[in-house]
Amino acid sequence: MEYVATFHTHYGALSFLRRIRDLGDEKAMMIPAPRKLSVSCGSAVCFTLDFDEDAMVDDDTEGVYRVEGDDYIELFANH
Amino acid sequence: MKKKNLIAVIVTGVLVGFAGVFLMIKGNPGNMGFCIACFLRDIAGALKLHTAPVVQYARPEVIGIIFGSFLISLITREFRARGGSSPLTRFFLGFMVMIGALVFLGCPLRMVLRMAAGDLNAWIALIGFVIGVFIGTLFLRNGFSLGRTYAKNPLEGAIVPVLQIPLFIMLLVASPLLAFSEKGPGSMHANIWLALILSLAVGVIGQRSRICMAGGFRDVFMIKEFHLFWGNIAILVVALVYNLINSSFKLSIAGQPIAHDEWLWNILGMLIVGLGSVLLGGCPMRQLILAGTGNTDSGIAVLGLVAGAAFAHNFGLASGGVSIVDGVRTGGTTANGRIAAIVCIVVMLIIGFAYSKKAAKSK
Repeated sequence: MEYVATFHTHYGALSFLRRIRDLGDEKAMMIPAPRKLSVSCGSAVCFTLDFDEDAMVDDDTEGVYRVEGDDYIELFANH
Repeated sequence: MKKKNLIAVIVTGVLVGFAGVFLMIKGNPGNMGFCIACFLRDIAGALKLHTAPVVQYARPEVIGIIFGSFLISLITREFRARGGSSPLTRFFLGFMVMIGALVFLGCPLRMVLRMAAGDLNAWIALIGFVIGVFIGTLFLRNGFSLGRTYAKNPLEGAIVPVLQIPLFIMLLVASPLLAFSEKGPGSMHANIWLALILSLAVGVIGQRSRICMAGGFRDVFMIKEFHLFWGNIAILVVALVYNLINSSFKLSIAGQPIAHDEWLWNILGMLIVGLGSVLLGGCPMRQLILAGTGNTDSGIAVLGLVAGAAFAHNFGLASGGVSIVDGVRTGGTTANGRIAAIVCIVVMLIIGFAYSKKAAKSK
């Protein structure tokens, strides 16, 4: 399963990436925020570890989505 | 999806590159078909925030970009009033970005248009811009953040875009409330409707593609991602080809329109612009587009750019284009401008360190 997380700040993206890697997803990486998910030119994080809201998100996390083809299923929102 | 985004960015670059030369041919100043910094400075002059008589004109290009982004974000339901991310710091970052731009004489967009016209001073300034963006990405890697944004009343997000309407009407009727340059770059302009339509298109497509001159380099440094960067390349290539076809390409350091040849200050001026743009989250063009989508932080940054322009001209910080008349050279940087540039670099570094959190350091 592939997930994408978007953020309010670059700092949020970097610290999320660090948390995900600490949780064992070494292949998690930063990508440009997909056009469908954000109007900012900010970064997003793509990861495959099963989503765990308590362990992964903080106030800088804007949203977490499950990727299904060209669609993004919202799992978490903090707008 | 990724391919679709890449095509959108390249199409935006093609349009901006074309418009940048076309609007110059149709009357805008030399190598200044589009320049966000210069045009915001001209608007500051039109509003009499400064009194430099040669740079006063309510540029419809700025109005069009903001309003085009506003319209498309309303249509696509992407208009979201958001803000509250260190607004006063953003104001001063915008202020300093403008000072850097006016020491060099152009925003990143005009830098690329100047490069495409053979202005070697702009190629030298590119070094400073890239260094500035790189320093900005070092701060981002060390956890630089101006804080998150929060939802605002929609009216707050609409203030900057809606203000473009009375400004455009005043321009259209040549309102005596506005100042209009009678000579110099401010007196040179393309047809109002032509400039408005082209810049509306840039605003629309720029909002869809998220093109950003600083973002292109930033993403290459940060995540080795090139898709925004290809937008910059598209602007350069299209403007270069158009200049060659139009015989407006002249490879030289001396004799370039509205430019100076003081290489150190060209580099440092664009270093300020590159660093400030990364700290702000986007170049001046991107700030206009984001302001159109309801981002009040970008609206504040735009006001900072305008205030910086007024300050730069009121206090003699802005450089002048070099010209030699009867063997006497005029223009170039000013002592005040050189001091201000150093101060801006120091202040930006202080801001960079002050807002960084080492805990975010990535592996």
